[in-house]
Amino acid sequence: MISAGRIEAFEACEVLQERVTYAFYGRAAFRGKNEFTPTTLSSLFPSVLILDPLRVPHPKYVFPFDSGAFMHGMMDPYLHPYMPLFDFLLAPDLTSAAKLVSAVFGTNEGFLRNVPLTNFDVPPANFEADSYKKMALANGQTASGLLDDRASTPEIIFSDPIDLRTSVLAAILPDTLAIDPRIGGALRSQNIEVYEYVWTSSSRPAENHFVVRNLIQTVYKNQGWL
Amino acid sequence: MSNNTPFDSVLQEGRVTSLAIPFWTKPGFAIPLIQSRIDSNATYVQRVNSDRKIVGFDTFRGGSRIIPLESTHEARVGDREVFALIDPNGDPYAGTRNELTPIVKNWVQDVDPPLLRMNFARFCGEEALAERSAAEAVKLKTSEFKNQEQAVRWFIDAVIIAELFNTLAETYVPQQEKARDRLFENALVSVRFNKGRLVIELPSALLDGKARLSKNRSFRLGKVLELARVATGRDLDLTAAATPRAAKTFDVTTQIRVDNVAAEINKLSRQEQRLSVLIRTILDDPPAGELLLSQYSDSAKFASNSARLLRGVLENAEDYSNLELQIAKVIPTLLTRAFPRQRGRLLVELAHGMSRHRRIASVIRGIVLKSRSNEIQSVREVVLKNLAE
Repeated sequence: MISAGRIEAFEACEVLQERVTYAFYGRAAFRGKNEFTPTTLSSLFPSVLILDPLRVPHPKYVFPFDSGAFMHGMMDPYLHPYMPLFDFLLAPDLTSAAKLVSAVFGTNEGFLRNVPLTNFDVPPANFEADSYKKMALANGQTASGLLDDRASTPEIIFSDPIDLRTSVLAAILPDTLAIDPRIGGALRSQNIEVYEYVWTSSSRPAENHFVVRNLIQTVYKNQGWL
Repeated sequence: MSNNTPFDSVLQEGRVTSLAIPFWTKPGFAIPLIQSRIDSNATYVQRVNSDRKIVGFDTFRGGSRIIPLESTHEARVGDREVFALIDPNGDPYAGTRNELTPIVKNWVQDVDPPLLRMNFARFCGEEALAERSAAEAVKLKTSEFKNQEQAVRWFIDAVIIAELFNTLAETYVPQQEKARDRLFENALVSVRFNKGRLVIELPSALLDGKARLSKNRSFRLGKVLELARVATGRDLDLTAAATPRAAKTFDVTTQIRVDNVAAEINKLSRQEQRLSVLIRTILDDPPAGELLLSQYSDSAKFASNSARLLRGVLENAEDYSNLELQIAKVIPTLLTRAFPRQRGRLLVELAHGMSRHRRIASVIRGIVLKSRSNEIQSVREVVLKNLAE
């Protein structure tokens, strides 16, 4: 990715069967609860690229949540059995994700803290919207354990390559990746700000995720987004 | 497999046989991989609690370079956390912090990148070296960002805040381990500059514990603040942040009960009837009532305003134990807000099913017995009959 200077998929994903790149809107929606899946490197050794919303390619799809979690059945308790994934498609632009966040959380800060508004309304006859509302409330800050924040983090899916120099604002990396000239050094040379964090242990992922989330918040503040 | 699941018992002990190394430079900390038996293909990572003791093992799916250890290291539930590292020569080691400290001390002063040097220096207790390295790291970042405030914010986020949380969370007892973990999962910390000082806003629940810290932890807190001061050249103030009220969450069965009540309410044509069902649900099944209120909207003005009033009652209630009294107090307000000609009908509807909620029944009874309004006097007998049901 770094040597090519762009982010792009080299093989089709299992869910959509297309060569696409997945990104989350605003939140680093980590796999915090791993009861059903093995622990992976991305959970134990997290790294994040922050994209500039004004300079990314047009997304191909926008979903209101993690489509992979949907397909793995993690949201089934909140869904009608015949609700297919594509019934939840939003308009394929970042504005639709921003509008959703505004409706559900009120503010960007509420979104980052995962505190949904308790009184956001959806048309009662729109069953998909009603399901989404229940999921967003159910994975709020005092999480019920059934869902994590992937259930209310919009997912942006790109089919076009994302140019590192043009579209990536900042990178959050563990210290050992940040000092590597082939990784941290190469990102810096693409004009990307590198925010490294100290990584000592993989045993309590929540602590590393906490540091990463706070660094992301600082990047947003530096950008004037918060 | 994870902690707090039925799978915990699958693996109680194993041996660290290899390291996962997701980077290409040296030295660096790595991920110790555990096998139950040498001939087993499955690898695990340890999960530790806030005391840094092993509480379980999770299966691990790789994706990084794996380097085998020449001599394996035992890892057992209840033991101290096992760390892993590769030294400047690329040799792998695994052991407890005490076991690895003398190894790190041999070469820590020669580590070139200042943040990495600081991390290793803190790991092996070389505090003075850590402070010098931290100051160097901030200086380097200032030149990289061409902005000192941005560099200071980075250092506080990347190093200090997690240390503050770990130190201050000592007052959480073992039974509060989940609450402690939630703190890390949910908290976002605000860092700001104020007249040359740094102000860090922490959750008040965390800061409240500061006065109860043990001598050892108070000392550690002092060291963390000193590290921040030396690195950034600024003194730190810790203040309590206002905590936004979180949306409560409910399980699926509560949602199903709510859906049933909502279906019942949707069939009711009069807003007084809908309000009555809403109040009865709050009293008879408070979790469902609260969830119902959070999702409730009503096109009729009085019902909509009343739902907002009830939402306020629930938001101000610390728990569900005193809800009947709190709702009894707002019954006169509801009556005042109703259209005058509908007040009689409202009382008739509110009286349904209230015989077991004596405080509310008493308020309604008092109103119908004392009122001289024609609308209320005309329904007095029906209201009293409903209250007696």
